[in-house]
Amino acid sequence: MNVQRDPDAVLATWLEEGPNRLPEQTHRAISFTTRTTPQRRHAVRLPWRFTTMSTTFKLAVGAAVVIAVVLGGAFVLGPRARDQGVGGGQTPSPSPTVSPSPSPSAAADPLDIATWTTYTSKQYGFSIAHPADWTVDPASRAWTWDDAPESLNPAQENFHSADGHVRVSAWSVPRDAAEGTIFGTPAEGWGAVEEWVQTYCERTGSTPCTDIHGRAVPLCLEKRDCHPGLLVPFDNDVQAFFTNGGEGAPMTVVAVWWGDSEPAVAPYGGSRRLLEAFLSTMDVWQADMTYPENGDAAATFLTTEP
Amino acid sequence: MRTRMVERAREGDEIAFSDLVDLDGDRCYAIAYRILRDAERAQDAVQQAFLIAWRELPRLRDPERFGPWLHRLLVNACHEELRRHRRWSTRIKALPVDGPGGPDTTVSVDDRDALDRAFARLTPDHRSVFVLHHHAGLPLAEIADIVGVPVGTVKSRLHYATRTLRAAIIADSQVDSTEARLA
Repeated sequence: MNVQRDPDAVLATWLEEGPNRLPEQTHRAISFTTRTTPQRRHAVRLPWRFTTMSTTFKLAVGAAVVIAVVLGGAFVLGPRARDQGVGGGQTPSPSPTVSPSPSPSAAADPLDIATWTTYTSKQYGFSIAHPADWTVDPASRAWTWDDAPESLNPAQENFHSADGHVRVSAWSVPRDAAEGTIFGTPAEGWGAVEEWVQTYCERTGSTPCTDIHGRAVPLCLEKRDCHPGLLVPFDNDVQAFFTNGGEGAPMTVVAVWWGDSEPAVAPYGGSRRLLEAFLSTMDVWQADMTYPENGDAAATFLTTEP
Repeated sequence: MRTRMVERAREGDEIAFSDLVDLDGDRCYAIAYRILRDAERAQDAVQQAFLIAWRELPRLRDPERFGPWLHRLLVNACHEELRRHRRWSTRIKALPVDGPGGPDTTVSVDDRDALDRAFARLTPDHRSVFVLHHHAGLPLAEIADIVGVPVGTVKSRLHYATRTLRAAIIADSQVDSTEARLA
């Protein structure tokens, strides 16, 4: 016999089936990870004493303090004392005290891109290198305007440092063919990219969207001539935007998910330097082209505009 | 009180954060389970969401926004779980056998099976919107804020998901009806 059923009532009942109480073991696991995981501190809320900074950063700060004291002392002592030091006179120069001090550059340089591993995106038309000990979480689908740019978005190629504290993402945002090419003189191109970034900022909820012009740093695609791009610092991240210039070519975005002055990125010299290092390893090609294995004309190379 | 807890947790107070887990853990788990339809993966997603919440909490400017922010982390963690396990094959699990002649709202084995299959075919985005609205009871504007899309997109996803699931029950009823006529 057929029983008349209300589909919505059945649906509601089905939806309410299942557990509603977090198991105690999960609660304990969360408590444990809380105790063993340091919080990320925002620059403006940094306590007077860094309780979570890395050893490398402590050493860097220590070295900076020593250098400041030495230089300050030399300045206070006056030109005569400085001359003696520089001229290798009788007074021992204070500089040897500084040079043995460990610093980020004394250890393996994390920005030495020669040691980095190249990753070729299966989702987007670019390759990019990352530090050898970082891990990659490949994009599982294409980025759409419904997506929010953030460090865990599965539509992005996400790169994580070995300690998990630093994340970098790269992806391409579709543009309509009607949006045309971003060419012309570099100044015109940067203006067009800036206009696009303004729209992107407002649509994706990035902050702040004001004064992008004042914050943006121009980039050039250097292979043939200057295809313009921009590096833009936001509140909690730094992002770079560029296109290979084709008609309706997507805008490629690379982001470091930290503000420039965050302690987490200090070993890399800040977010901007880290971002520039990633950008300098990139090859970008048309989506309908195969990967240019011989590095021919489709490949591009980015540097910041002097 | 909750805002104060968030503020204290933001300053690194682990006990305050544990209180927040007490306060929101059950609700998060219920949502995660319904998006993922798997208890273990739901536990993983909740744990991941709270871990990120703890780590990133100092960057949350407005403590009042902790709820939507946590939901956003949870939804992302669920999507990550779905992505990680997207190649899983159809799971077979023992279902309780319903007694005959139940009330209209009884979910029969066939209904449940049809709904499970239809729900598994929905995208993570559709699942999340459906659960956040119909289970968690969140308004569309808040869901739009959580998943980072316009309200219109939320409406569209909700409509599609609901229609798909409703169609699964109706199709199942029609099969029942046909079988009854043939019997």
